[in-house]
Amino acid sequence: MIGYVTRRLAACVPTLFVVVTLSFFLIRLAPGGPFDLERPLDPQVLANLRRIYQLDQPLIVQYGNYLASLLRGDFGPSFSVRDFTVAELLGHGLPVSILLGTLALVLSFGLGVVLGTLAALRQNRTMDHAVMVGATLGLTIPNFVIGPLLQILLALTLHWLPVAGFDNGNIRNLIMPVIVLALPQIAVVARLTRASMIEALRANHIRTLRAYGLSQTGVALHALRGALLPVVSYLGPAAASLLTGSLVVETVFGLPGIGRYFVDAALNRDYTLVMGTVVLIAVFVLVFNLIVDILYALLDPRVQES
Amino acid sequence: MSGHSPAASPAHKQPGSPRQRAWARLKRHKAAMASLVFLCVMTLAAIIGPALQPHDFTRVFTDYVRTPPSLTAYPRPDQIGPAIDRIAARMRTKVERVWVSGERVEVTLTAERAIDRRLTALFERSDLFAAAEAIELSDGGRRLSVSVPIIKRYFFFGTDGNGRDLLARTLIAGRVSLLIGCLATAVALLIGVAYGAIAGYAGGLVDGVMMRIVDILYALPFIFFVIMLVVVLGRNVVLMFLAVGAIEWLDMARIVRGQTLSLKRREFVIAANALGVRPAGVIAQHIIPNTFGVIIVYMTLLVPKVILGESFLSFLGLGVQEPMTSWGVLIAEGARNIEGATWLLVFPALFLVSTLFALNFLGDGLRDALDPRSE
Repeated sequence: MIGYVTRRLAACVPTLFVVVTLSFFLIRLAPGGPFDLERPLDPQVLANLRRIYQLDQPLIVQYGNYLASLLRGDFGPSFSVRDFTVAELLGHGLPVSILLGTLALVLSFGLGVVLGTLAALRQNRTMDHAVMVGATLGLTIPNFVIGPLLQILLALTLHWLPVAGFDNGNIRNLIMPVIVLALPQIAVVARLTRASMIEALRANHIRTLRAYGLSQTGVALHALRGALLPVVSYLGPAAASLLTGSLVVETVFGLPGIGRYFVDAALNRDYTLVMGTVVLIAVFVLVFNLIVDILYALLDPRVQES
Repeated sequence: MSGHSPAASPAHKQPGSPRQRAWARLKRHKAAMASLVFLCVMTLAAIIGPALQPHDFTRVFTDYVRTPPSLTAYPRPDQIGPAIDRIAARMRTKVERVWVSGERVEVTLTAERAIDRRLTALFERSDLFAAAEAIELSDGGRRLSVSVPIIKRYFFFGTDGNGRDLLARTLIAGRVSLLIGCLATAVALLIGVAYGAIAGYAGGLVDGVMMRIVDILYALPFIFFVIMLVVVLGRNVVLMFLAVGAIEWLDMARIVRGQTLSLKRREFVIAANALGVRPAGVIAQHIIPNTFGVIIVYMTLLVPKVILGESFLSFLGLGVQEPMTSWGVLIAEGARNIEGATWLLVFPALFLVSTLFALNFLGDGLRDALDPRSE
């Protein structure tokens, strides 16, 4: 097991390296720069700025410097948010995004598995159709439609919840964002669970359990153990995308997460902030895929052998 | 998933080729058939719809800004008075009498000085009236009576904040959104299928390296890629979504590779090898046709994904640019106006969601129909 984890961990390093390299040169080759303003700066000022931020050196030298500082854990200063380092910006936003993402993750897997199992047990009956229609709706309604609609309904009309804001993590402020974040994931998890549960319920050992007269719940629980494998493998991408924040949810609900940095930084050519978010996301994706693979190996011994 | 493969399940011998049987199974799937019909209607609406309704999608009706949707014709009786007042004010005249009679309105205007008859052209410039006909000029030219035909207009979906017909815009937007969805999916399919089939068929080191590249691309955030593309390609939508397709092929490559791995051990592939068919020929004639089932299913799920992706970009202001529009652009606009003008969100969202809904259901139906075990 330890050997397996080490091997997988080692495989992450080159991936991360390629991701960093690719994104570094992509953003640098994009036209425009961080100091392009509506009104052009004085050439001397621009030259000074470029020297301070070491943008005047050859690209390959900058790349080397960036890699070196990255190895020390230094993401560098932000270009667009003055007087803040990228680490500070991400450090402030990340807890918010992780809080929201974790709640949404728990909600989506909890509810998704239950709904998917119910649908599978009642295949082709009302319950099944209702879950599938609901899941398809959850997948197809964009979050920037659901968000404002929820605000109108729950905040502006019924006055149950605050319209927006974080309020230091007040649970009432988190309800709507978490629902909007979780909705499409609930849909995916429910569909996955239903599909693999239907398969699992057809398996021979489950038929045997039925023949022995085990209760419906007992049968369902046994089948669920095997059926959860594909669902677990979805946990990786889901966690990575939920925990790194969502631009739409953060914009609609005015939350100070890290999702908004993505787009803002790329549009402002805030090179260091772009690289910071890319590295962060890549690390999340790699780490969660690794965790999932380890979980998989624990749940299904056949995986380790191959 | 049967496609061309021989002997899918000899136990269930039924008449017809696997394809015909799959079609028969699909026809029994009511939700999928309804979705198929709905998608055809939606495609037709997007292609010929804009030509069938009277308003151009760029035409601005300055007198009908944010008009609520209605099945009855505009202008409303209470809109005529203020419109006449506005025109009279611009002609520097006072309204003495307004008399609406069916399709026409008769107006008498007075002024301090003689009225310039050419100013009646202002009626025509309004969105409510056609060219005015002067009936009489009296009182030394200071009193003018005109008869103005009222133009009846229908705004079934209402108008937007600039006074453009939302029905016309929603239909045109459908054209753009569907086109983008299909284009990007086609590109993703071409790359993904070829890549996956080659990787799977070659196996060994080639496969390892090729799939390693896919893994790396997975770790790059999608939105970062797209923003770079917008920056590099400018805001050319067609190019951009060809590029989006060039990113979305990763899943397709993985799926086709998986299929290929199991297909290449099958007897008919081995037979083709033994007969001396070159690898390219085996892939093109034996491997890819047998993955069509999965490909079609995945395609119906990729189109909605791309359309949703486009709408997300448009929400950020990175997608389709004015005056062109897409469902995403319209929805983003609607979300901003949700308090005053709900229809701006409701109609485009309804079109988008119903289309994506139908695509998803069709995909599910196809998956069931192409699965030989479901017989």
